[in-house]
Amino acid sequence: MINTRIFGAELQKAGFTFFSGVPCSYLKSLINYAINNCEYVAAANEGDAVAIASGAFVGGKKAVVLMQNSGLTNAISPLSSLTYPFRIPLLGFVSLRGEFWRISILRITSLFSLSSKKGRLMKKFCTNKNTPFI
Amino acid sequence: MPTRHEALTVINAMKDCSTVQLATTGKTGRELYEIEDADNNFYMVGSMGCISSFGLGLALTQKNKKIVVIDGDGSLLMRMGSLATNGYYHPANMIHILLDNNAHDSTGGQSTVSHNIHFIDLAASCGYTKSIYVHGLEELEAALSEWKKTKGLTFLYLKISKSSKEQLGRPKVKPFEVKERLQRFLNKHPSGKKEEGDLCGL
Repeated sequence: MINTRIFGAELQKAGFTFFSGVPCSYLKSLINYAINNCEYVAAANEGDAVAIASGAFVGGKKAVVLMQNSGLTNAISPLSSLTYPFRIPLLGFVSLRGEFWRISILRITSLFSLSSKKGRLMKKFCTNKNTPFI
Repeated sequence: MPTRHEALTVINAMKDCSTVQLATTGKTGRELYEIEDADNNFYMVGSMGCISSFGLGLALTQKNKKIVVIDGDGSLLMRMGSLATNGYYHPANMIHILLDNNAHDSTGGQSTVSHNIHFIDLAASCGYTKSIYVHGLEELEAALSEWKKTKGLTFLYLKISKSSKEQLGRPKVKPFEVKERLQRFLNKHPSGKKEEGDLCGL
């Protein structure tokens, strides 16, 4: 497991000081680090977070967006028509919830859980959008 | 009721060396482009509803600049939660102008439900420092002038007519070019003050 403080310090060293996002429990530590040590804007939804981070980038900051994969779908509009045509680079942390081979609470509670379906769709989405992801 | 073109003309006349004008998707951006294209204009493409969030990010990082967000009712309705975020972070250097024509004018003129809402109350309850109903172009000009002096996150509401300029063109500048020249503008005037030789207004 990566130590958040070390990771956060490296992010800051790389110049990433502006964060915007919508919480995900997996990203909780990173969000809390951003709140305490950097500039963090808590967005109402993931698309707004992308737009806020885009504004910050044009304003001169290196910006990060944080969300979970089911929220990525809320961000598709600004990712397709803001960051892409305006060529605004953002660093995104999107937690992958509901991986196919992992039993998650969400998968158990609903076979049609958005999270599990979106886990597979997200990988496809990123590949289609030529978005590098790890 | 004033037209969008008239409202944009008034707004545009108030800009200076430290102003950035952000126009929402559709005919708002196109009309602003026709009135006067400039380096400190930004025309949103798609991403309906995102303009004030973009403005928030820009206002928080460029505190010396005056960020003028020009929004529409359809657009604001689409991402109404952004009002809460804007209000919470309340950048003093941002003004959020809503030009309400009660329609999705750029896509056929279908009505929105904006006539059923009190946007002024909404913005005020979300934490905007000031939330003002402007009844016409004179009040718009006065409110803008006042904001330039006193600052504070302000919401201006103006009802406009449904009409648009006929034969409206589209910006000839590509989106990434708009972004790049805006970045150059921001770098050129870091302090936000008029410098010697500047041709950009008072």
